[in-house]
Amino acid sequence: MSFLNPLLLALGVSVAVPLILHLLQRHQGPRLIFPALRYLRRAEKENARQIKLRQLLLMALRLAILILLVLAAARPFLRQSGSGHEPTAVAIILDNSLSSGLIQGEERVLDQLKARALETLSHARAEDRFWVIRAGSPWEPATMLDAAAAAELVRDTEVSAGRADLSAALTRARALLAAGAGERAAEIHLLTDLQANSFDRTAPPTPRGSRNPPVIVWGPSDPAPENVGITALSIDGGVAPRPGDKSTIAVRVSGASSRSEIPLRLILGDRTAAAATADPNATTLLQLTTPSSGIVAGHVELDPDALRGDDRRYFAARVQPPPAVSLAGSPAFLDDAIAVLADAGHVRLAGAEPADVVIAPGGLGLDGARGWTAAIVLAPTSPTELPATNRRLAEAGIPWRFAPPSGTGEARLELAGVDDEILAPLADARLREVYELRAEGGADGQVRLRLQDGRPWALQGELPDGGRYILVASPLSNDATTIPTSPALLPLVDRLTGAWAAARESANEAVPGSRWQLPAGATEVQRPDGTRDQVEGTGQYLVPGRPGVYQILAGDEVVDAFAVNPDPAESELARLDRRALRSTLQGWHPEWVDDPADWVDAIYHQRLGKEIWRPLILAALAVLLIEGLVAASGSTRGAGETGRGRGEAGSPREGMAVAASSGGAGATSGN
Amino acid sequence: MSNTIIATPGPARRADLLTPAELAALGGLEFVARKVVEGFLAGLHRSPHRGFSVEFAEHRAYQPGDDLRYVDWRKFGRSDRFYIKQYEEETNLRSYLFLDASASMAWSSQPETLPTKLWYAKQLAMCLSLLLLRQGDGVGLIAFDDAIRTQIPTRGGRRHWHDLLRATDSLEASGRTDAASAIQEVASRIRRRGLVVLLSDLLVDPEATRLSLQFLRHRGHEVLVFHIIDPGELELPGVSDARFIDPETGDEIPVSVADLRREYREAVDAALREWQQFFASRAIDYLVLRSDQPMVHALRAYLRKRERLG
Repeated sequence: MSFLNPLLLALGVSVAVPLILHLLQRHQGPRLIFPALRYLRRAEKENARQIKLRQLLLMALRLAILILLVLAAARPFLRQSGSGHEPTAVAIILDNSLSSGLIQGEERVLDQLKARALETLSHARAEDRFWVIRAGSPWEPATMLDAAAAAELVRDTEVSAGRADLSAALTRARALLAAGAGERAAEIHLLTDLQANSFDRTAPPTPRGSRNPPVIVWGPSDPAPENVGITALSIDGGVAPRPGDKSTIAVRVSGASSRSEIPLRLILGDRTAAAATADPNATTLLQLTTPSSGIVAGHVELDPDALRGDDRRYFAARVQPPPAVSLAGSPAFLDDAIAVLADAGHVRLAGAEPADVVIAPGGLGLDGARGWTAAIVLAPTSPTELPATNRRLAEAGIPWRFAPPSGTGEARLELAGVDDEILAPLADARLREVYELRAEGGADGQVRLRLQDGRPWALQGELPDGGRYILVASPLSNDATTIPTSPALLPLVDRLTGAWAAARESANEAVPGSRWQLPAGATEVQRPDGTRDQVEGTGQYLVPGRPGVYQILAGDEVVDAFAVNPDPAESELARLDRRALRSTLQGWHPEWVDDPADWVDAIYHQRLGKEIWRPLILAALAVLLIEGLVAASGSTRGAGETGRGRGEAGSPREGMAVAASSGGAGATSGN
Repeated sequence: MSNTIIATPGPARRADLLTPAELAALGGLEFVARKVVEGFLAGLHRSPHRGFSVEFAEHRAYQPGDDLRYVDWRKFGRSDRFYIKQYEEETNLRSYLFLDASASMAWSSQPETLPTKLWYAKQLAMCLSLLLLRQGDGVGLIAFDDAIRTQIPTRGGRRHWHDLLRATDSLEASGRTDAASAIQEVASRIRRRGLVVLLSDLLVDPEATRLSLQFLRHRGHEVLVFHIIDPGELELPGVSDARFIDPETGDEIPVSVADLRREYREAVDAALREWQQFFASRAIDYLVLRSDQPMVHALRAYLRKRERLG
């Protein structure tokens, strides 16, 4: 016999109650004046043994009632041979997110989860049906399977770079069971490493009254080990690598602050192209010499730790020539900055060719045929130019307008939230003229830089045809700001014409489960392991969960590539404890099993064998009835006897008059 | 309203047939005792008990102030004159009423509706004494608890009843019960045989009491025992657990009533049966009186006893 709620057996301490009552009962009750104490003493003396036996019997019956109720509350069931449960539909949520690749002890967490799932499936009956929901690959469809097919799916499951949303997975499992369980009993087996950020704590709890299937959770109860992982990587701040140039790869290492000088390597193909040491929760720069054309791809890696999935982060970027830049007018200092950047190979001077990026002080340069891919509009140098500037913005389709400055005095930029080290000199810049930026018709944009009072200073937006615009709220003139004469000018112009103006990120990175837009002519996508998926050009490719560099082929020619990396949140391994799990899954009433030996006892838990709480309740009621009869036996039987006694002539009660007269007559006659 | 109706004995209701609760509402000891005796005697005229010990002796002419109940109406019908029937005091029986006034007699299971056993015993004693005196017998009263508290010597005459009445009316229940000492003390001083009437709840030492009553019988006395029981003493009260306290000794017994209810009832029955067997074997008349019963039962028992005494 096993129990579904074995913790409730602790209620067994309540059997002490009748024992205590038994011990205390003779000291309780009201005090009553009663003259016929002589008869009471006599009754006690003559029936002491019987009374004691009855009290012991009552106590035994009361103990039996409590024991039966406690047993029933613990929901015992009789184990049957084999898998003797009723037909059951089970949704197995297998958490194969990146964190499940953690090696704890000598076993990978995912392998432990798979072992539990296979145990579930090995105890299945032919009538049982299963859905295997891979929580780390939520884009995969889940279909109803028999045990054999489900077991095969479980065995084939590998760690995904995707992030698990277990709250969503539970909701999905409930929907699947509701739709497909039919007459079968329903259960959800949640097999997870209990990573805290896998649960959506902001999700509203399940409303009261809605029926959720039983959820049996298996997860490790040990605390997660410290982890260090690469959580971010960018090339040249987002600018496409230039042919034959040196690019900078910024790598952010997150995790245990107790470690320092973590070895970091840049791997291109089979070759270590660069190496450095990194401190946790800081950004480290690695130098990369880019080829003259084509695609540069590789990865940055750490020494392996318990979670290997985040020790390596992939990148793939197309080598592109610097953008052709045109500058309207000849603003002092700005044209010099462009020239310097051109000498450094960061930009090209457009000259006669069409400009990729147009720098338009006061909107100048936006006129005429649209050939640029990005426009950088600087505020006018005088408020009198505002109408003309705004007219040019309107003609270019840019839904923003400059408005006269609202404040007086100098302003400064807020760089606290700007994760770009080369812009640090802007912290010293003083802004004397700052125009207001006003949206037209609910336009939206990404603020690149803000003033310390929160107003946007540099704002980036997209045009409907794919063009990009950047508005700067101050003219970059010596009268309006100190930037032109400070070290901040070159980094600012470099970002304006480079990363901010680029149409898309230079590094091609895809999120698992997303859809990658394929270039025209694409025929295949080659996975990191060398296998190829047939595709059709201009279609979309569903990005798999395996991390690595995916190459897009047109015939045998590589036409593009993208990298798949895990979600940085997967590197945070903190786990929920039992209380937090219950709090997070409000309304689900999860039953947590953390010992592998207990798993088989816990699953199919409402139907494993025959539950016997009903007979126990009936038995408790029967014993309760007997207890009531025994407890009331004195008064009940006594009342009956009183009734009989009234009819007995020889009774010494109300028949006394008769007895006295007969007795008296006899006595008198004899006297 | 209903109490008033019940408590007023109309012409159709004899006082001896009223319940003690109804009698208690009528008035004081003297009034009630008179009413009960009158009701009882009135009932006797319609009953087969014609041989009342007060025997007819002769007629005399009616005089103003005579009780109209004693007018011989038959003779009036024949002679057209009023004659009063005069009765002969047939015997000169000496009676001794032993009245238990111990603390246990002051108990009532329903204090608001049911008089105490002592109230019942006092009423009964006064009724008996009135009957005895009307017959010309002498009546004495001994009230006792663990010793004799009040003793009225045995005398006859109507005025003596008022002495008895005053002594009885002032009695308050207290102390323990030792009937044996009281009986033996008095019995040792009584030279002339007579009728001893014991009114008690018999919550006494049974062996000593039996011995003393046996001693009375040995001295040639006739004995009549009225065992007065409150109906609440026949059953344990309807509580689960309680501590029962003896009003005389202060002793306490914790009792689980449910466990002992039946056994208690059996113990009461056994005790009553033992009393009955003892009295029967010693030719002592014995009557159990519930304090919620009319007094007519007791008076009839007395009457039977008195008839046998001649």
